[in-house]
Amino acid sequence: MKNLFIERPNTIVASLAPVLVWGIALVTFYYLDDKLSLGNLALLMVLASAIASLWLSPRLSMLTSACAVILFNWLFVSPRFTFIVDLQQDVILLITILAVSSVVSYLMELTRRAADREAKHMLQSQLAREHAQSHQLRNTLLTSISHDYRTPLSTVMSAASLIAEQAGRAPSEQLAQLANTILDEAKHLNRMTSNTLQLAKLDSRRVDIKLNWESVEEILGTVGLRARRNHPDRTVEIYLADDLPLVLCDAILLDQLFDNLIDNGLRHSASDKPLHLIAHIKAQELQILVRDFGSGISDEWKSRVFDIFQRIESPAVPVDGGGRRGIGVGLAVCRAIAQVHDGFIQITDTEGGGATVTLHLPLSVQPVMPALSGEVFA
Amino acid sequence: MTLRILLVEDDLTLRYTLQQALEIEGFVVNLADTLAGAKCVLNQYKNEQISMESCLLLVDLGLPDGDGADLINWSRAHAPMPVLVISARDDDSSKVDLLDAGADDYLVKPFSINELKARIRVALRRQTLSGSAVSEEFIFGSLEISLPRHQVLRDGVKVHLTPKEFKLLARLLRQAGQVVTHRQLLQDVWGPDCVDHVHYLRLYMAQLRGKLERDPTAPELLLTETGVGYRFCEI
Repeated sequence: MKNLFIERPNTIVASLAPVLVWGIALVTFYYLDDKLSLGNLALLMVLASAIASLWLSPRLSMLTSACAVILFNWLFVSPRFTFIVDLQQDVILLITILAVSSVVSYLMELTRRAADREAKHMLQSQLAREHAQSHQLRNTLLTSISHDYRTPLSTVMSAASLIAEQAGRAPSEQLAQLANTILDEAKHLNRMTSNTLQLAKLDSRRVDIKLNWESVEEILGTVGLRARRNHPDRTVEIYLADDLPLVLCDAILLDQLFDNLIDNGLRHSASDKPLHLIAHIKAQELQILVRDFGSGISDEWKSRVFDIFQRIESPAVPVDGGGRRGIGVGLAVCRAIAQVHDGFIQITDTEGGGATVTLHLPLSVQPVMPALSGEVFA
Repeated sequence: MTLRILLVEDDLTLRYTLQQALEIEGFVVNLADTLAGAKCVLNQYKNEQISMESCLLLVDLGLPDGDGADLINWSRAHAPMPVLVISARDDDSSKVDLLDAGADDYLVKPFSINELKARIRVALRRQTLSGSAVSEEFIFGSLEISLPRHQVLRDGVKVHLTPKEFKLLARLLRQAGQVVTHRQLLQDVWGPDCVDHVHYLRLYMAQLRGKLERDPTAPELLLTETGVGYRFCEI
């Protein structure tokens, strides 16, 4: 809770303000002198003291009030321009002004302290919350590492130790198969490492993403090419609407997002089924769909698959055709990547069976392109 | 001609594995695990008057006594040869900086040996070509490109390219097989005022793909290096 008046006086302006208040008050008094009674002036004096105490510590506030009362006495209380007070009621008036000023400055100080305490408390609880969140993320990442890393690692170790033991005796066919197993598992570990690192990076408080003008055709073309190279037996088809706009995004992140979705889609569908990448504009947003024709995903799991916590804690995790658990933190990374682009990600059913994951991105105002009209055909 | 590779890598296992893989390919492999060691070997090359044309520097970025990037600068000045960077950093800006500084190509760990061999082949071929006449006629499948005649034929039919499209294509071909950064392309095709206008490249690459690729959504020739630049695929 920020309040100008309750904040600690710490700037030059704040320390000059009470002087100004007192100055204005006394000058006003001087001009209103013949129009108002001494009692009226005294009330205004209390007001000035209260206002001045907004900026001053209690001690300074008292000091300035005392000075003001003495000046008030000298200027207005008869006999004027002396420090003598003739009437008893004027003495009471001066004492009252001083007393009220000190009560006001004391109350002001109490309010300030309470506000300080509250601000401190809020900061502490916010830090505690952030700490708990990062703690939770760290735990999740650690769980993910122990869960998802150990299986491929043990496969690698078994295959490698078989090769080492059998060296020279095993048929070359078997050796090649074992080496391929190691290669596959290493690739899987590499993907999980990138995802885990990316998730930790995106979760950090200051995410530094590099936005650039990117073309959807290029991003999908690149991930599509990689998918075809890694899975030469599979069909990955790309369908793009005409005149897709450029997207202001971090292409490395979107590349990772689609890489995960494609990998997921291919693993959750039979090898004779294609995978479709589709991009179009709909409802004032850019939608990019990764559509598989596999076993699909139950409604209950549609939103939960993006949640790393759910995935790890629940025993009822959907398992892919190869018997491997989900893709670790892959879908959580996809969601985080969509979020840093002010977009979101959603799973729906593919008509006729399968899952369609859609990335929704806001449209950007397009950059100025070079004039093509000046170009003469070669 | 013996092709020689100086491998600068501080990880013993990776150094050994790469050495074996490269020796199988017939390269002479010299090893160094520090910047100082690498400079020593490069000086030795000079003393023995080994032709730099048949050498290649394969350098890891994170070395115990400094950054491999320093070695790239040093090599530019003292022993110019093609440079391939291997790095565990997936941070694209450092890759781009190195390429702009004159490295020929980069590989991010983990990479496959096949990928490494392909990059080495391209870098060495460019090096050996640089002395002789640079190739100006290219044939990629059904595509014929003649730089001096400003002519592109697809299945024998002339393809019309605008001057900028042709300039962009020619710039990529000059380093066929190697990645050319956005900045390098924009600088050479549009001039120094346009080095940040990456969106120009998106537009023109889409047009070029539309004219040259069989399926622009599945490019085979004009490849995107995400976050870095473009590469004209070496076939």
